[in-house]
Amino acid sequence: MRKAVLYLLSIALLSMVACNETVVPKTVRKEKPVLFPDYVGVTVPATIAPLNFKVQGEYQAIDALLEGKNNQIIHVQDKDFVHIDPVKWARLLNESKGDSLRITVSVKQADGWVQFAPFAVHVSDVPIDYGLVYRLIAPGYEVYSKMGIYQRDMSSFTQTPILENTLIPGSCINCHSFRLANPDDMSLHIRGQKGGTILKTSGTVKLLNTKTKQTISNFVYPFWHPSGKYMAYSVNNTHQVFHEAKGERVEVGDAASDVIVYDIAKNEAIGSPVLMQDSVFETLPTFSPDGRSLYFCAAKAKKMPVEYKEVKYNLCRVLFDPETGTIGNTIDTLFNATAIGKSVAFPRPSPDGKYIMFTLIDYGNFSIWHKEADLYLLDVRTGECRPVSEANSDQTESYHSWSSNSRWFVFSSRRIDGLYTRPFIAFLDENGKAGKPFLLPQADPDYYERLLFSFNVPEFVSAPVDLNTSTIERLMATPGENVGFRK
Amino acid sequence: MPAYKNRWIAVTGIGLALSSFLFFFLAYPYHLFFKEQVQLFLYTSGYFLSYFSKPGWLAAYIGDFLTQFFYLKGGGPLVLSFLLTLEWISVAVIFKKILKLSSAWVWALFPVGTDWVLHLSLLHDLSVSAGLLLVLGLGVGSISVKNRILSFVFATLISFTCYWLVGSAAFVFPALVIINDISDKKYSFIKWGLIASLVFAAPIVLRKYYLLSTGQAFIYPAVEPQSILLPAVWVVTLLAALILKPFFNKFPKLSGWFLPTAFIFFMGLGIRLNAGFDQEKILALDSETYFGNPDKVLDLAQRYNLKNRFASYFTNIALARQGLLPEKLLDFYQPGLYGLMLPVSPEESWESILFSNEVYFLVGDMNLAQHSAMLGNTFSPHNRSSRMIRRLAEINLVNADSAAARKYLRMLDKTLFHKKWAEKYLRINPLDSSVVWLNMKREQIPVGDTIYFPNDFETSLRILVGQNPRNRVALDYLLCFYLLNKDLDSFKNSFDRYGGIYRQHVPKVYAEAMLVTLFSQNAGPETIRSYGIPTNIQDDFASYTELVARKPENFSALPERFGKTYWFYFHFAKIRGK
Repeated sequence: MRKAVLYLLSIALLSMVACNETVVPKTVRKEKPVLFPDYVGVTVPATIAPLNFKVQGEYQAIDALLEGKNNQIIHVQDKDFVHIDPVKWARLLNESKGDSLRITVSVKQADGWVQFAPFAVHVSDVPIDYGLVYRLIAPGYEVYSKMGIYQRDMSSFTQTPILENTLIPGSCINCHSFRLANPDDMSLHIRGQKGGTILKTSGTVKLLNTKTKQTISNFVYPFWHPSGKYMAYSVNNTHQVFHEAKGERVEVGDAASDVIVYDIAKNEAIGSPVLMQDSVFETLPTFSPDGRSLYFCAAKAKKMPVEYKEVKYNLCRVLFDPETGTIGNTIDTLFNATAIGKSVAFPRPSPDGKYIMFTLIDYGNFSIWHKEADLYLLDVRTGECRPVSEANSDQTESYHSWSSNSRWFVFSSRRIDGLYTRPFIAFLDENGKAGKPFLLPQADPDYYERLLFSFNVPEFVSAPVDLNTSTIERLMATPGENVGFRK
Repeated sequence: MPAYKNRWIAVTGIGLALSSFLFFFLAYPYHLFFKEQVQLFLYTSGYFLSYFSKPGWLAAYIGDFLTQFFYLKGGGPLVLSFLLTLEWISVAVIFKKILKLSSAWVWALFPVGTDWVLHLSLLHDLSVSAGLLLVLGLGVGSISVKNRILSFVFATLISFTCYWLVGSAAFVFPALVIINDISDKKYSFIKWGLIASLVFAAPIVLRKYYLLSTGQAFIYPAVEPQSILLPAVWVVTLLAALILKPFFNKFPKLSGWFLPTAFIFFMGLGIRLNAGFDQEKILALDSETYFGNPDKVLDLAQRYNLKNRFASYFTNIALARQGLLPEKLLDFYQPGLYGLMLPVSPEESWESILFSNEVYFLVGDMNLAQHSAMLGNTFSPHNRSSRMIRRLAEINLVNADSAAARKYLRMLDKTLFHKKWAEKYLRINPLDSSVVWLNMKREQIPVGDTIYFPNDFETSLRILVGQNPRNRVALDYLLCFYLLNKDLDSFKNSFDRYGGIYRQHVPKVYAEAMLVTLFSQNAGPETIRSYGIPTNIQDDFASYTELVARKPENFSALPERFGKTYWFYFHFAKIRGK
């Protein structure tokens, strides 16, 4: 908050002393400007923070005219990039809901002003959740020093830490998960000398020791049952290996993995023979929105790491009875990725039950270092599956999460520099067509360039997360509650 | 004050400035340079605002601002000498003001000496010194207010904001005010209680906001707990001066010799306990490796003669750069594998992780180089290191990942001293084949793909050499890896397969190892001749085996004549772990 206040004060001070110049374009170009971030033609929610941007290339000054509905106009002129007044911006978006903004950008070169063709920013009247929660961590490596889980109010630039590992030195904090974007139901893991799974359910916070005799590891990839009574987790025996080729760099693979369902009230992991097969790697579980299906990724077990390129996951389903906590006996394959020589990761059903979005890669499930990783959308009703070309790029698209109304999705992408994942948000219309995604706006467009951390596991939340750090510290001093196991 | 006393004060001040400058310039330059290398000071608003996320932002910002000058030769000693002298003047002025002591300038040496000694550690930041100076400034302001109510209000305000501004140095403030009041016989327990509780409650209350553990909250912005000794010694010195004042007033001559003697003893002990002169040597090897001076590294390594894996690591890099690894490997101490590479794991020190990318970059394993450079950056004390950012930029240029390279270069472009380097590299077109060093590095990169576990140096080297046997540095590392592990079968297989470039002239260490191998395989003279092993080495081997064949009591003669041969290493060396 204090950062934002200081930032606004400095902008106010600068704007007081700055003198706007009248733009008389010497050159009018037919093409649209190349912006960073690229906001040309994107669709945004009406509550998004100002889309501050700059034009790629050198210039002495930048000028932008933002025109909305009902004669709402914002005129910005600055030296480095377009800083938009947040109050005027909020008014402009509110007035322009369901319509588009027309933005005309000019830059001052040595020989005068150059004006670009105007471009549109579409303002959707479909709301988006309050904010995002993500982990900031140095890109994808196995040891950790500095990391934290942060929340960002999407209507402003305010980012606040939920938990940093400075509070629990030497620990790794990961896999934060919420039930239907509800900040009151949260799960996250803390690994290290002191560790366990933090489970926050409607006011109570527990530390769980999740390793049981019957499971191969602590709980890993989480997903909440819509009722809040269960969670699905994978248990994985994971290894990190390196590629020799420069394009791929790091690979993380499972030598073994299973899926279990955790019964929160009984504090028991529910195992099933169909989800704990030695000959199959089962991982990345999710529940369907009606809570009666458990989706997961399954691959034929291979010798790791020798046969790592042969590990290909299909998208599978098994029935689940929430009344009795019983897992079905039959596995259905929803998307046979193996048949096309590909592999599925991170299946995420939309909360309205219409779609399952997943990441498709050449092999394995650690998609973040796979340049070919793209988002795919499976229509649950028709079984049709297509790449989300509107959002994909030639770089990695990986983790993704749905807004609670199923009309927005956030995903991590490495399209900016190929190395650091950044959160992009896209709109999905009623026909399942996505809009052009936009990068989560920052007060300073150069923020991402100077950030040495990746945005990991972006998740929507409907309200601010309130995690009492004293409680976490107190719990971390205890051994945690041992989780039981039943079949 | 008598003139002779003023002279002594001036001599002390100049002496402190000069001696601290000379000490850090002559005995500790590489430590100071390294401190700059593990920070990255950017001239951007976002970077400035990032300081507000932790306590003591002003002290930390000033400290880091000054640390960037450690990049310059003599910059570190100059900054430290200036700060220590300023600290001494401030402390002396305050002691004089509070205690009305004529010997305040001698008492002031104790906290300053403490800071000097603390700066011998890599983890003691200038932010701690800056914090002390700032709090002393605030303290002087506070005790200068004579009006009782205003003084109360002013002190309360400072107590309220002090921790936010200077971090743990804030603990000096209540002590300063209380001792000043006692000295002035102004007893105000409410004021004392209030300012002390405000200052000491701040870390406890605010640590949740700053997301710090209790221990960290009480030392921040310091990184290591021993930095808290600076404010602690300051308070103890002030208290000691207050208590001993009547005694020294009674025996003024005693204070004339006792305090300087105590200070000299204190400094001697502090330097002895805290100085890392061996570490300075390691950092010298590291820095000269970084500057690209293999000659100097070898010269220093010979002079230092350290039995240390880091020393071996940098020496081997220098040898490899000069193509001398197979000639002179055993002229230096070799602990085994960990003299060739440094593993990257949570068990390793942050310095070791920071050093570790150098060899991967040298042999051409850009993925492992990037891995260790990224971790080196993350594990450095403030999670940002100018050196690692430079290395990451180079790696991405080699990989032709222009966007990632530009990201790092544009960061460096916002610094004061790395700007020029960044500008030069920003001008490089990654596709331009005329950039010699880029082409040379690119030739090392394998085209095919396979995977291997972290820290599996052997597999990495095997792949590099397998795909490009002309990668001589990687080949030498691979062969030396086998030799240091006494794996002669693998050595011979790899030499036979990839060592074509050594057919004309077999380097000394390889020739010696090959003789052992051939000897153990009962190879005939034809085979031995086919390797082109120089006859003098064959003769030496004959002498060695003859000597070894005799009784063990003759072994004492071996080191002098054969101590630097592979035969001696093979028979007697113990391979050390980490």
